[in-house]
Amino acid sequence: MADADARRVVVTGLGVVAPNGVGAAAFERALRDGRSGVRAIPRMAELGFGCRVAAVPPDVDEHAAKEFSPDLLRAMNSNHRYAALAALECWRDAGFARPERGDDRVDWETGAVVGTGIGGMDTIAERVVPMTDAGEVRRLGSAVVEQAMASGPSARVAGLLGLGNQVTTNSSACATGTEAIVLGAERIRSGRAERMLCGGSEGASVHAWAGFDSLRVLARGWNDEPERASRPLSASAAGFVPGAGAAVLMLESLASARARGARIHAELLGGAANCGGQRGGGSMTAPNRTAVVRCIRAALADAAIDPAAVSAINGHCTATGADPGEVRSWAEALGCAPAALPPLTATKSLLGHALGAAGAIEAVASVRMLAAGFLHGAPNCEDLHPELAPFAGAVVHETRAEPELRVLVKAGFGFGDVNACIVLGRWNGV
Amino acid sequence: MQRSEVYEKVVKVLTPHLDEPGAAEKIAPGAHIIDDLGVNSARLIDVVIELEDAFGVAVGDDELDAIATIDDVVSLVAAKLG
Repeated sequence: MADADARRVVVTGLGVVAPNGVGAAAFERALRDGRSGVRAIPRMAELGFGCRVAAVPPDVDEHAAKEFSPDLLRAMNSNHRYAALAALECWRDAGFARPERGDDRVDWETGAVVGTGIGGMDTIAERVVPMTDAGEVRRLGSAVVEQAMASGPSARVAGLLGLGNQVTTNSSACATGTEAIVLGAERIRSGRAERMLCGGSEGASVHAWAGFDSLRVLARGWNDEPERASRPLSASAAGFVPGAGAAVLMLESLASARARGARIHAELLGGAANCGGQRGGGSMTAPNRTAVVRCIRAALADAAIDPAAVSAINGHCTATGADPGEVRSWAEALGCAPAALPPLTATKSLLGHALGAAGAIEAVASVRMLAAGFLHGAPNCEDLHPELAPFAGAVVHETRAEPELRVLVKAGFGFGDVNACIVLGRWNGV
Repeated sequence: MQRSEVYEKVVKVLTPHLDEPGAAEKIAPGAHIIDDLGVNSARLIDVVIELEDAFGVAVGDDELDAIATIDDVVSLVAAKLG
């Protein structure tokens, strides 16, 4: 029995810094209430962006000042602050105390996969580039490298918590946050770690968003109505709203969770990750639909879950032209008729697209919906895309109670034609 | 500038960088910045940049490497101020 427990993976901690709520409780309330984190960003207008709205977590500096010394804050850009705050909350939620200053112990059994899509762009754009080009290399200071490097967020988290197992930052564009969970679970299942903090973080930087604006994939035309700008599944969807934030989930072997009497949020039944090879209709910015279907099916197989047992879906659904194709892929993967597609939640309607953090923030939403028995509504798709008419019954417009949720599948499909999918199961104590 | 004034100003620049509990109480002319006051060796670079700004002086790489105590900093700055 102990061996079987060691191979099962459960979620024992949650931490989130989201555009519509900092902290898991505030985030859940915002989801239930349908509160958007999207707002106008004056700097985007000043710089001539087509999209002038974004979703950025509020008041983070105030939260950070309460947790981190001024000296530490000097070395923490937005990506670090989001990741660190989310990881701290997750750690405490899992029942652990933050190590005291001077506590030199290392937790060899706990690691982290905290991913990011872009990385330390604000540091690079606002300090490294201008100061280097001005011949002021000497004045960059000692903290620039740790903030610019992609692995910064995971390294920061490791140092705060004394983590001694594998600590790394994965990066798979929009699939990053979901992939982090797949990777962490694999490490626990293989017996190489007991606990893995898994998630993603993305800093707030107009420079990170500029390329997307140039690519014409960001939402335009809603700059005067920020909360209506992120429109997954709608007929008037015209691109995604860029976002920032972080979320971290504590994955733990069931054996370890039981041994220490941990509270279990949900079970991570299985997962999968693949790529479409940028063939079969895929490109750097569009998915190979065959690969998407294979990924979802592989995750279900890994979880030993029959497609018919899926209670709900948390989609990728970014509000680009890929949404209808995604929904068709879900139905194909589950082998169900359009009218039978399980309820589909589109969290980006409230959060925008937090890039490397998206999959993780949305995984936290998925865990909470599963554990508390509800599905949050997605605003902004009252004008459902005509191609989605056959699936209309699955779209969750308004928050509703769903006490019978048992299995929730969450996926992220990223630039680069990369996919990640996780299968979450409601924890019933066994 | 008198040496004592330089000392006060150096301490003022240094103090916000002292992260460890009790470090502030250990400030003294002979205090070793890294070993006694717990300033991370990498962060010493930031302290020196701030000192350069505060006093309007430039500190060379060899001079930076030679800094160990607060007294070392005070002597270096005082010499540059003339």
